[in-house]
Amino acid sequence: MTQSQSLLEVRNLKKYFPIRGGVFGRKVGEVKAVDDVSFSVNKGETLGIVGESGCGKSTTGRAILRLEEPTSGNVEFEGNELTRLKKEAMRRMRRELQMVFQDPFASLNPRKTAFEIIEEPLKVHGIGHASERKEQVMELLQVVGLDVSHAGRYPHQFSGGQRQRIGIARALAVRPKLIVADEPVSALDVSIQSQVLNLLEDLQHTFDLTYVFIAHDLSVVRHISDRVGVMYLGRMVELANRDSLYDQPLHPYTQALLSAVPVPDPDSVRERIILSGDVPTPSNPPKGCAFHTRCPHVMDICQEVRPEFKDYGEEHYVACHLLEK
Amino acid sequence: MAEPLLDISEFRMYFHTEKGVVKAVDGVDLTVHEGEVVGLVGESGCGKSVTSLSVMGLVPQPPGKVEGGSIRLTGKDLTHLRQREWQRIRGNDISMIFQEPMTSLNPVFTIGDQIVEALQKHQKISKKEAKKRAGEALKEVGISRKGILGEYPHQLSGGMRQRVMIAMAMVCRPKLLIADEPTTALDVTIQAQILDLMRRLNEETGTAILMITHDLGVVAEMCDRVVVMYAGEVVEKADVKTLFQDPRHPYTQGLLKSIPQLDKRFDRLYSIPGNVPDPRKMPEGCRFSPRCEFAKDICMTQKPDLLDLGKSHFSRCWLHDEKKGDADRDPITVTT
Repeated sequence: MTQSQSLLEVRNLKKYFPIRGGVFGRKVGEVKAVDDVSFSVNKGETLGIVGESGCGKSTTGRAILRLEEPTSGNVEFEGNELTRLKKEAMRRMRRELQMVFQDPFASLNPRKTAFEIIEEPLKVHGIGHASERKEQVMELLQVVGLDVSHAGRYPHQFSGGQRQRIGIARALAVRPKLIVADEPVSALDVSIQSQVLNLLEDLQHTFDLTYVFIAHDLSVVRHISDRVGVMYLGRMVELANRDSLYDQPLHPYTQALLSAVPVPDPDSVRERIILSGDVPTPSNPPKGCAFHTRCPHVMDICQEVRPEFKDYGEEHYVACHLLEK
Repeated sequence: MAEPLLDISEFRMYFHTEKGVVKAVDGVDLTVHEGEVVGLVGESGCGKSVTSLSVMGLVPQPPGKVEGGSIRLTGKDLTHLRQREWQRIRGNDISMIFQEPMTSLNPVFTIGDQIVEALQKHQKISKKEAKKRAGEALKEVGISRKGILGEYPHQLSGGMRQRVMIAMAMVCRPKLLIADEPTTALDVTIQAQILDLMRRLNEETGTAILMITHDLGVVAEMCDRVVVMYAGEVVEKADVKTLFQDPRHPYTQGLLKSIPQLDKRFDRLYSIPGNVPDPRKMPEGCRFSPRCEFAKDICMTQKPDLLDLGKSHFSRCWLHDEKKGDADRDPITVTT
């Protein structure tokens, strides 16, 4: 792997949501949505984060941009510690970090036209005069493959794929360095999904973008990412270069996850690891390794001690006791 | 071959709306034989769900209207049944599971009550007997914990709810189970459990499954035969191996090429240009022609028939017609 400059450093990130109950709404527990996650994102690369629902992948993405205030931990972007920035400073910083959301139906204001939606971030950040902004928005529409004459249309007049293009154009408007894309294609049909994935790749080359790509679809993540992190129950269990993660997964959860994906080839014969049971609740995660309740190779130590997230060579990070033997 | 269990032929279901006629299903032919697993694939709006709801008699009419064709279950036409007659068929002969198990279970009744209700509606048995059968049905789908009959849907996880739905659907031993995107709302590891369960039930009880899905991976793993729909029409039918190895319709080919795969790497994904047509303004001729890279003049003006390519492989495309289409431009070669 090429040693490139890291753009984003996430260290020991935690996000706990309080559970309130009782007459006085006191805190009676907490949901450990993100529980001590560390990783870095290099300039110009795509870091994929995969995991099943409730694993904390979206919260991680939102905590980077401080759309959720992290409970503790550090997020360093180009040497700036984001968690300590004041509100106004953070707002200015968001010019550099933008987000693309999953649901193109819910993330666009239905009362605004495509033009107004894409222009808004430019206005917020005080970029250009009205006429310059108009020029920029028109250019953006072309860049993401939308018809310029549709600028005056409202979101409901676009299809799902087109709406996602508007969301991407909005994120691009302020020329960010990093885009956190949270499930950007999971609401789309297969034939539209590949259009949007290709667009994201083209934009990355043209604008020198860095992506954090959050998704549950392992095939999509393999396609688009340079490195991939796997999360389970608020923790990152494995992080490696894409090919080593998919070809030689080391963590039992990653192995099970990959074997569970249905492959569109009726002749493929694979050994499938079917995990028993469900993901435990993050408000009361198992002691020790979070995966030990479903792990086929569980040992005594797994039930007591949380495994360390360590580099097992060539920047292949894994949190598992099996490898320490 | 024996008479098919389910035989849908030339079926059309239109919706008459204020803004015009929506031809949701416009000529569907498909058969399901006993014990078979048939996949019905297509993207959103292609009419796959309306087809499945029509088989269950669940499309409200109006606004829906059967415009032609038939749906036969062991020879009996279902398209003009009365509500009373439907009651005897649903649950007993055909049952259905849906994508979102939370919205298909009643939140204010216990799991036990709901399965017992289904049983007593269709079979003359005592409540006690029904309760016993409900417990057995749940064991069959892998839920053996005590007290499950007294629990409410919200107390269960998504995967468990889908198991309950399957137990309920299978309790009267239907001949055909319609599964409409049964695993779309579930995580991959849970999806693997549910698919495994459905395969086992199919083998053990011989219940045929009509599997509606957009996930070609699920199709490859589960189905014996596949039917591909596009814009309300069947565009290709074949057994599962043929469809994946030798797809003939340009839409099927494009679809297969545009999915990223775990074990294969492409620098760039293929993508089908454009969008699915507006169901109120269907293109003339072949409905896929505006997006098809092989489209010729005839494709824009005349609708192709579902052509028999031999070995029960059918495709609706002018390119296979040697008289009207030039055979040398047959898009057989798939470059993946």
